[in-house]
Amino acid sequence: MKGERLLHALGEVDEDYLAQVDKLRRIPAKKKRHTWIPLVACLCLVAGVAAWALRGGMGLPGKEGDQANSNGITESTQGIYVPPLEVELSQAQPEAMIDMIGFFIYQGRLYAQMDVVEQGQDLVGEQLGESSGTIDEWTSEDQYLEGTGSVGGPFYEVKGYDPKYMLCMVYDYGVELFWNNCDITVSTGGDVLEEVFRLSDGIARAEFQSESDVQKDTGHMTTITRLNQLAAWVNALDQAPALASTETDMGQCLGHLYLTKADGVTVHLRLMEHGYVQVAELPEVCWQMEWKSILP
Amino acid sequence: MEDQEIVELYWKRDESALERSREKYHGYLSRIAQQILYDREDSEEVVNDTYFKAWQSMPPQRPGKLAIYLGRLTRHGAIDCLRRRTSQKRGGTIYEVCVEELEESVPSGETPQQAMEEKLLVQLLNQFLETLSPQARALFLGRYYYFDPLREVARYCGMGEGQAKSQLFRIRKRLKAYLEQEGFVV
Repeated sequence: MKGERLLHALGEVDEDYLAQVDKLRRIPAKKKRHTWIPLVACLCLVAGVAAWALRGGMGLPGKEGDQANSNGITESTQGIYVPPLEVELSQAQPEAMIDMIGFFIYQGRLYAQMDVVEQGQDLVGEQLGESSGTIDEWTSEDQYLEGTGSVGGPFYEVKGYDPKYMLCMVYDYGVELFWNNCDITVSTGGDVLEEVFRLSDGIARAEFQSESDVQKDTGHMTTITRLNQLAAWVNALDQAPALASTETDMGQCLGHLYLTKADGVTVHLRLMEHGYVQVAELPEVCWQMEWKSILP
Repeated sequence: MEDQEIVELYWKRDESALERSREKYHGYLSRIAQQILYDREDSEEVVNDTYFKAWQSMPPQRPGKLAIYLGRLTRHGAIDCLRRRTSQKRGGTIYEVCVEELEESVPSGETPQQAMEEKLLVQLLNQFLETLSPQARALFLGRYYYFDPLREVARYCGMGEGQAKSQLFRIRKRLKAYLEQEGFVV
């Protein structure tokens, strides 16, 4: 059989490739998505290309009058503007560097894959459109258009959330959430935690995992039982002014906080050295907030 | 114990090498065998056989990555085991689904026996893998080397199952084009 012959030959491929995959297979589930990014620095390229389309192809208004730093993050009185991600294309091997994250474009906004809610049927609202799923590694820039994306299929509003920020797709394994986490301005914690995730609805479950547990793949998580105290902490974080991560003395990540609402939507916060907090899918922005007091 | 220390035990003909290998990699190897065989008993046998093969092959082999080396032995062993199950009706395991899926990546030809040698095919596969992004490579090898379920591959590659499926489809198409371009016919 032809397929069998290929599978047999695959058994002899370069062990370096296998080692890379093997490393990925061993990473605990909650960390995987975020681990991919340093592994593939080029992963953001698609957002960079889409940024081109969003700015030029779709004629979205640019932000004026603000000064961008070297990373393109703009700090102004209105907050921190997070631009569409831009990554330089490798000159040496452009084709090999291009890759897809799950995303689609709707009403000029790019919605990128965020998380899966396994029992999330109740979240699915009205169908808002359908993504072509036609964008792949070889799609030219001029084809990054409204209604296209690297994932195909109908997308829906997420009940209880603003479609401007969050949409979803439905799969047999759960509801995949997509978040418009670029080309946005963030002024306070509330702009994300409240406007996007509606955390004031209530936190049903909170878990903490230390960075060393993540690194060692122990799977050890600690449940936070003092939810009232945690809610007060989130309220304070809502008021905290957003900072551009690169402009702070924020150190390394020390822990992870997973705040899960009753509807299954989970907000992943990264607890950083020197008392900073980030939303995991928005590393450009942070808030200065003491966090040790909320840990078990 | 570090991999190189375990390899050293093999080289010294110290039987504790087998126990150290088992301690460190038994779960990992069992998973590889299980994905192919879907049978706990057969998988256990294949993995035990892996340690024996490792004992026989080191020396002269001195693998740089012991996990990959043992995993490769297990994969081969499991595939051989599957082939031996002649009495078992085909259909159902991930391995068999993968075989079917990869059929479409091979250019059709009337003279499969004239296909290039295994070594050349491996070389072409390595070259093809080099053209893929790390993510696409992980997706492809996760599925077709490790035989991980689509959902699992999608999860550790950070994408939805539907996206993984469509990406795999594109990679297979691209592999077919690549092999054709290289004049390879299976």
